[in-house]
Amino acid sequence: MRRTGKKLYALLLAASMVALTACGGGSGDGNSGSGTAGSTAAPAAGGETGGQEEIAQGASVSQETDIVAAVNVDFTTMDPMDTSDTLSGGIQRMISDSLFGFDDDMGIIPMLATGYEANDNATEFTITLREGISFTDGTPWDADAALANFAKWDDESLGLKRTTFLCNVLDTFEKVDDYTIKVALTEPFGAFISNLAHPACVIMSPKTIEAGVEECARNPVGTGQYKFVEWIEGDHLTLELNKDWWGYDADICGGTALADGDAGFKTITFKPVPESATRVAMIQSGDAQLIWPIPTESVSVLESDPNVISYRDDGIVVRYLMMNTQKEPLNNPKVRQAMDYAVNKEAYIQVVDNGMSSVATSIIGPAVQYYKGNEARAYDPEKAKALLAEAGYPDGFTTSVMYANTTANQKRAEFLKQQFEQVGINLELKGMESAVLNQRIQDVDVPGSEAEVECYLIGWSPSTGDADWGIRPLVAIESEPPMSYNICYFENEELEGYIKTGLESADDAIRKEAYEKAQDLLFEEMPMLYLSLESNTWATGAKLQNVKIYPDGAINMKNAKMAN
Amino acid sequence: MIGKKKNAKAELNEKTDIKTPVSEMVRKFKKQKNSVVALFFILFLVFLALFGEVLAPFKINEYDYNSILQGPSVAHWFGTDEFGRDLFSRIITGTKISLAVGLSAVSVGAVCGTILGLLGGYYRGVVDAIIMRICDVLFAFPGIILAIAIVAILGSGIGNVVIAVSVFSTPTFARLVRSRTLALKNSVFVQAAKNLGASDARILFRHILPGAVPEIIVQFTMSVGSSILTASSLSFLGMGAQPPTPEWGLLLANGRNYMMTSMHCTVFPGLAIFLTVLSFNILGDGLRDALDPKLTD
Repeated sequence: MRRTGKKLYALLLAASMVALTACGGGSGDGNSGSGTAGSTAAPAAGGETGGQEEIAQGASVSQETDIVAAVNVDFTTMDPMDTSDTLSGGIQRMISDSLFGFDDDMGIIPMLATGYEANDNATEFTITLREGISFTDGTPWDADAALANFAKWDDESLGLKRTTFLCNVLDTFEKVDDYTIKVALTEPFGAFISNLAHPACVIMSPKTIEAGVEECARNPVGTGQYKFVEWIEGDHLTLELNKDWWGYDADICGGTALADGDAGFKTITFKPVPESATRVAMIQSGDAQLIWPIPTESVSVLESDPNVISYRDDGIVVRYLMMNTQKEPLNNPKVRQAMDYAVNKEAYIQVVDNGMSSVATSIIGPAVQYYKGNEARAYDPEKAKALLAEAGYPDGFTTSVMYANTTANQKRAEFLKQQFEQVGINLELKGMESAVLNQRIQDVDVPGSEAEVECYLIGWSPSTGDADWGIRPLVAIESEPPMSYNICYFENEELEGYIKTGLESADDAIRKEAYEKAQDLLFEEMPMLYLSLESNTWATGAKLQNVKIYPDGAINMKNAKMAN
Repeated sequence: MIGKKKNAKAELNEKTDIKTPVSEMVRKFKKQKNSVVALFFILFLVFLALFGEVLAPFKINEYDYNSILQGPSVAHWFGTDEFGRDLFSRIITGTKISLAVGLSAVSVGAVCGTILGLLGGYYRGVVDAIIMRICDVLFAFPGIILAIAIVAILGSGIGNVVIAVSVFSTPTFARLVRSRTLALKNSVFVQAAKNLGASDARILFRHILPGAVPEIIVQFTMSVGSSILTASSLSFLGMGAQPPTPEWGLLLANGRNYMMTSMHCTVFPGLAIFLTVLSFNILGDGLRDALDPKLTD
């Protein structure tokens, strides 16, 4: 009897290990996986896949349907000026429109504005507003409403995360007439209109703004295609389709409506599901009609499922290995170039991203304005060794990389360690929890040479779609921690000049030239290795059509439709 | 003549066949076929731990990006992982880590627990109360939760896992030894030793401790199994060994990402953990049956 008990105990112990494989360690980085039986995951082709029958366009189903969307992390806030994550920003774009917005490819289009005029040195902008629109709480959209938003953006005392985004450049803003406003800037700012298209600058109802920041964060009201219903933290966030959205009205839109009002559903419920295997299971079982992102290793599984359509689109998220350019030996450009030669980018894409990303050729992605690619340095360990020897490190050296310990980052770091080992560089892996990481990397106010960080893994997508926001926060002197993300501690006067020129001009040709030169310079100096240009992946149930992801990774449901 | 000789030999055998505790134990142990198999499996693991690195067909960090996540084949018996590393080599090299962690953690726990148990049981009073209340507190936590808490305080890493597992295995030994000490303390031979003027240390370590050894051995073997499991669990949760260490729990955690497409990545490390833990438990089971004086044939 006792022996049987012990044996049972032994079996239970062993079984608990198996059970552990089913829970534990969800990282929410979109890289722990699931799928069906099979051997190796074949790299997926881009674009739409899946083998279901033709769907008749326009034949919508019940208007009462609720769509469930499973996402990888929870939302942070609904106040656009306090948001620093793409997910929350994407939801806010659905609830509220901005003065200028993006089309599907992140080209700038007028939304609540109809156009603007700027003076030559980009210090004064006159913006005309669209007429005939009101907020979902009934407040009309006019110059007063616009000014209420500008006042909030300019109010540093609110202590919102994105306040520095605009408050340093905003000087005065005034009403010219009911549908025209004039904004004066303290200094020339060429990317001003792009910045107005950033999700931080979506327009909120003046009533909500008046009610205070807490109300903005919990009960946002905008002019958008969707109305905010409720948000239970950690559980779900619900939006309801706004049947009276101005974008359905061809007259207000100035000819063509922005979307078809017959969406075939009533509400969308977003549920944070950090464990990506669970998200995959939800879409396969029909518990969710939309999931993103898909862990790359599950793409092939979803592609073979006839009830699911999986998508992949080029994004503008570039993944970098930042190097502290003020610490030995990384302060030597030759060493940094050697490290670039030492990494096989093609292999990186196959191994880390399952072939679902592409070689990055610049600090910004091709879809970002003023992008100029340089041909990535081809993998050449011999050349890397030669460069290291030239720089005085014939036997290599030891350095470390810090990163948030998500599944995907772990894989990236391990891959880099293997690659650097080939040329004699020993890379120590320092994965840590992201709050701890932020504290040790971001909340430090010391010169680069004294900072703890040597290398750092980071991804960046400029949600303004403009080169400025893809370059300045990462390599400008003003962006060194704790201000922003210049974790390379890169200080280059020539680059500062280009950044300034780009900022201060509204002239397309001048900005283009400045940013192209900046990208060339960054490619030579290599303050960071460009690892890959990542794809956006998402999957929908076969009935849900036209869901897209903006290149910056935010959800785009403008034309979403449920159809039989 | 020949018959006589045989007879004499049998007689001699009968005479010399004095049942020492060890031979008795071996005899009883041999009857437990399962436990004998488990013992040989553990000896095999020890062999792998000592020579695994030499025997492994590939180096543990030797990657091949052209054969990522391949299933078992002649070249790669257990298949390859997400970097094209040979899983077989990684698992047999990982044996050393798992056994070392399990044995060292339980050894520390056993030594500390035994000393505390002896002191508590022998001296009683305040010493006993303090030791036993601390043990009660430690017992109140499930082992893995306590280990997670300790690792959270000390930081992740295999060294800290050893400390964490030692701490949570200590109270079991303390209680066990204390109860034996209480029983033996009043036995005639201990009283006799006391009357002959033996020091406390001598009584504790020469007279009482040997009486508790069988229990300690059984508990030790059982604990090694669960310690290996706990250490693997901690690594699985990202708190133990850090990549690219081929620790079994870590291999399992990595494999989990590819469970549906490349099952071999979870099956083999899982089997390694399963068989090892099972072996230690069956061995402990057999030892208990062999050592327990209350169980007779």
